[in-house]
Amino acid sequence: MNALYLAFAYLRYHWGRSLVLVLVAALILFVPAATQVLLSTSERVLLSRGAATPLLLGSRGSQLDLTMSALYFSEERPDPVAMREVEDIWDGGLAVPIPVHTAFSSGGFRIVGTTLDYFDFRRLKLSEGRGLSLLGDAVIGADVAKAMGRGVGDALVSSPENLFDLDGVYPLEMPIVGVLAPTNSPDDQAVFVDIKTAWVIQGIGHGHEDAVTAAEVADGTAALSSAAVLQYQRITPDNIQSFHFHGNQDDFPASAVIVVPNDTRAATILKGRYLETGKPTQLIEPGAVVQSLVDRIFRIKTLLDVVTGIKLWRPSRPSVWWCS
Amino acid sequence: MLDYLSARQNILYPYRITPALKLDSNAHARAEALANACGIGDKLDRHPNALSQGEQQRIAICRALVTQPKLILSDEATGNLDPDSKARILELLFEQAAAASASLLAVTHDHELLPRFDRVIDFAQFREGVPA
Repeated sequence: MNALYLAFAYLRYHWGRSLVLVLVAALILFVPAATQVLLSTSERVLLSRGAATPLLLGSRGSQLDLTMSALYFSEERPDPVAMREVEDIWDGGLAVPIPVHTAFSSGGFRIVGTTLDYFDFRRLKLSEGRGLSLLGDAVIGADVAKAMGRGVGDALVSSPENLFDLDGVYPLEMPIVGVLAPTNSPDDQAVFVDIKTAWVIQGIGHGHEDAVTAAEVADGTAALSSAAVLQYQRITPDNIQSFHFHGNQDDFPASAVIVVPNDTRAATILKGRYLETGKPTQLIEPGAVVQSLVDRIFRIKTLLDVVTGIKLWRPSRPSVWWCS
Repeated sequence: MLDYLSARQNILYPYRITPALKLDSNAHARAEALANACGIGDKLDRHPNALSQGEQQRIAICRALVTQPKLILSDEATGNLDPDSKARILELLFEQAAAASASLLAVTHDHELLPRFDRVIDFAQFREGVPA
């Protein structure tokens, strides 16, 4: 009773100091609790995305980088895999390959070049507009639409890949033809285009503007078009037929290939085919990679909890309260 | 002196920490009477940091006397007080001791006070370690 009387008297008189102490104490309790909630949510999201992607094909290297790039559209840039790998999987008849090209971005959001199979595989629904049908079309995730304040009928421009790449291609203006319904996944923060559109951004494919004759310029019926004043390229109904790709499409790049096997047997056979370490590609199980990452995060969290617990239970020096 | 309690709360504090003592209207009346006798009756609702050192000392004296103890221990109780206050406090100490039939054991360097005590021990004689 006496302790409570003193405590309330102290709180009433030193309310500012007490408020700071209460806030600090609340923060000390809140941070581990918030971390726990955050980690649990992250774990659930990470694992569900990983578990929903049976197999992932990509260049040999960091499995984590490959997974983060293809599933979560992170900044990681794994070495590209050639499109012939996609054709090989198609030809094998054991799985459906879905290439993803995640090398570019627009307004801070990753541009994901892929095929229509991706939308079926992820069960993505449109909340507005239509799906991809023409070269240059873009379908944006719900978060992108909200953040950029754009929707069907608007356009977005791909960001230059490298400001210092002087002979790089111009950014591509892409009309937004559809907006996806929210999924609470990385798909909400992606700009989806056909993989051929991604190749156009990369400069593998391009179109040609109609040339203007000197006579048309001289008599004022046309202006001189010059690449020097063109800020970006645009695919229009007038020039779409002129767009073409140079080289063998089998050599064209994808960041990774999502492989959806027909059944467990097909998955096992496919995994066996890519066990050979001499191959330039690897077939991984994203679920296992993500699980390994989550396990590591939780090991670190456990260590931090132990350290925090020791610090809280054993303060560096005993507190002495002296009243005079 | 607890800085987060008012002068009145400080004086009555012994009632908070001693279960045998009952904090009733008599205790409050005694606290106010002691404060008035010490000249701080109008400052009972102030906190120690709003009082002078001498006023704080008078609160401490009131706190020591409010429970009407049978033994009052005083260590330079009037050291920080001006002559007028010193006389008043000493008078109060003696009055309270007499009223409660209590003993007053005081330590002081003030030789003028010595005649007022029944018994005096001069510690100066112990300076060499051997009593005179």
